[in-house]
Parts: sequence; structure tokens; C-alpha cells
Amino acid sequence: MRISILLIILGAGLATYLTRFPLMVISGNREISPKLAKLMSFIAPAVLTSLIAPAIFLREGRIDLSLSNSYIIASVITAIIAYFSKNMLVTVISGIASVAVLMYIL
Amino acid sequence: MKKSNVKSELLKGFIDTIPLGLSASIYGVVYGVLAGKAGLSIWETIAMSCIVFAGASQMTAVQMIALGSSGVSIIITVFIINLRHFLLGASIAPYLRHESTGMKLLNAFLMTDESYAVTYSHYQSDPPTGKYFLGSGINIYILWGLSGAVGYFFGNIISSQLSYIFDFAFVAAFLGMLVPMIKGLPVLVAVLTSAIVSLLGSRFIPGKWYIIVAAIVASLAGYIASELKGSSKSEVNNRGGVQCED
Repeated sequence: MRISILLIILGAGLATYLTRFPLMVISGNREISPKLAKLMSFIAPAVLTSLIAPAIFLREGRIDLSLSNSYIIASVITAIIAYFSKNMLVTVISGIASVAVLMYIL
Repeated sequence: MKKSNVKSELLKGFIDTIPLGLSASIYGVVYGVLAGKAGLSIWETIAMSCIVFAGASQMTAVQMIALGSSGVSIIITVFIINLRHFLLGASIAPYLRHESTGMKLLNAFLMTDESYAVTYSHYQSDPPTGKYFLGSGINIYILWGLSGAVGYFFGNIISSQLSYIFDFAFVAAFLGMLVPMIKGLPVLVAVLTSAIVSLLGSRFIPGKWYIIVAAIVASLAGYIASELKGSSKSEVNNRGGVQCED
């Protein structure tokens, strides 16, 4: 096990636990303010998007909106399947299949 | 009729969580595949599941490792993704006031969206016990660890060639988590903002800090959009915090 990866794992584990235990132990019946709760509800979709948008649209550091970038059409297909199936396994498998088919066609 | 036997409470929590545990396992398999593709060893993959024990965070962390992000930016990103745990903790803590601090600390470590959902709904009809929550958490913990290892080996078999095609597994997995979260215009605003900021940021912001910048700017954009839209309806949707997959 590499020490750099181990440090990331330990740091990420600590960061996660820091979000899990404080309110469980301290709060009796305290509520989080609705405004803060609302703000927090946007974080997960924002982070997930910030990771995939460059993976979909960037090719060698440049924004590639051309048809030869098969990730764009495959992402649209995958998002539609995710919306209707709401099933992770179905989404991943059909996503990979659509890239494979698009590469063959385009 | 409501007899709360200590051992059976633990077992009951465990059994009641099997359906959601199995659905979490699918995420676990996908995490294992992504971890393998990111170059983690099997022990690193398992250690992350045992120590971090949070789905979206682990998938994000391994993806950031694959991108070559700095350790500090990975840890900060994981922290902000997990901020919603505060909501889950605050919501379930009143039911556990009678439990020992040790039991609370253990339950906090094992708390996931899944075990929270099963336990919270159980507490609505039955006497709340820490053991039930513990049994539920142990279920997810075991299935999550095992499924990550399964995914790691599975990924090693399939992804040695055709890497362009299988690189898309990560995009598809993240779309699988993201799309069900888009339940209204404000979330869509956050998603579009994040896409634009991260695309521009990945070119103009040094390192991989664009991920954190995009997350903060986009969350604020989503919040402002929901404030502009008018409040009463959306506030109800944001209570409980079970809407995002862990």
C-alpha cells in the first residue's frame, strides 16, 4: 500500500467522520436551519457534475463539441436511461454499450 | 407486544436492511471497478471502503486520484460532499438520546443514507434502539466492503483493453447518481453552473481546484435559484436529506 494513497484514505475517512458524529453526539433535538439544509442539498449534484463535465467535453485540454466526440451523445443516451431506469447497473452497462456502438458507427 | 430484546434488535436491523444493502452493493461493484481503473491496489480499494465508508465520496476520491489531484483537494472535496451527513445526524439524534456515547459514536461511523432511511422509518412505529441502527449499519458495511472487492476483480478482467470505451464507465456511473438527484429547476441550475465553471476552471484554474470552486459556485447558484423561485414548496423537499445516494 502506497503511503500517499494511505494518507488520502485516512484524511478522507477523518473528513467523513467529522461530518457524521458531531450532531449525533451533541444535538438533543436541535434542527439545522432550513436555509443551510437547502444549500447543502445542492453540493452533491454540483460536485458530481464538476467531475464529469470535463471528462465528457474536453479532449486533450480543448472543448470538443464535434460529433466525433462520442462521449457527448453517449452521455445524453445514458442520462435518459438513468432517468427512466433509476438503476445504477442498467445505467452503467447501457452507457458503456452506447459508447461502443457510437465508436463503431461514427 | 413491543418487546425489545437486545440481540433480536440487532438482527432485525440487519435483516430489514438487506434490500437496500443489495442496491448499495451495485454501487459498491461500480466503485471497485473505478478504483481498479484509477490504479489503486486491491488492499487500497478495500481500505478505502472500510475507513471512508461513503459511496459518492469514494467514487469521487478515486476519480480525483486518477486525475492526479492533490491529497488536500481530495480531502476537502470529500468533506463538502459529506456535509449532508449533518442533516441525517441531526434528524436521527433525538431518537438516540438514551444511548451511551460509545453507541452513538459507533452508529455515527456506520451511518449511511441507506441505514438512516431504514432505521428512521423503523423508529416511527417501534421503540428506537441503538442496536437496530447498528445492525442496519453493519449490514451495509459488510456488503459495501465485499462488493467493492468484487468490482475490483471484475474491472481487472474487463478493462485491460478498449480503455476509451471503459473509461466511460465512470461518466455513466456518475450520471447514474446525478440524474435522479435532479428533482427541480434549482438543482438543474446548479448542475449547469457546475458544468460551465468546471469546464472553464479546468483550463484556467491551476491544479484540480476547479472541482471545489465549481462545487461552491454551483451550490450557491442552485440556492439562489430556489430562493428566487419562491420558498415554501422546496423547503419541504430538502428536509430529511435522504434524496442523494451515499
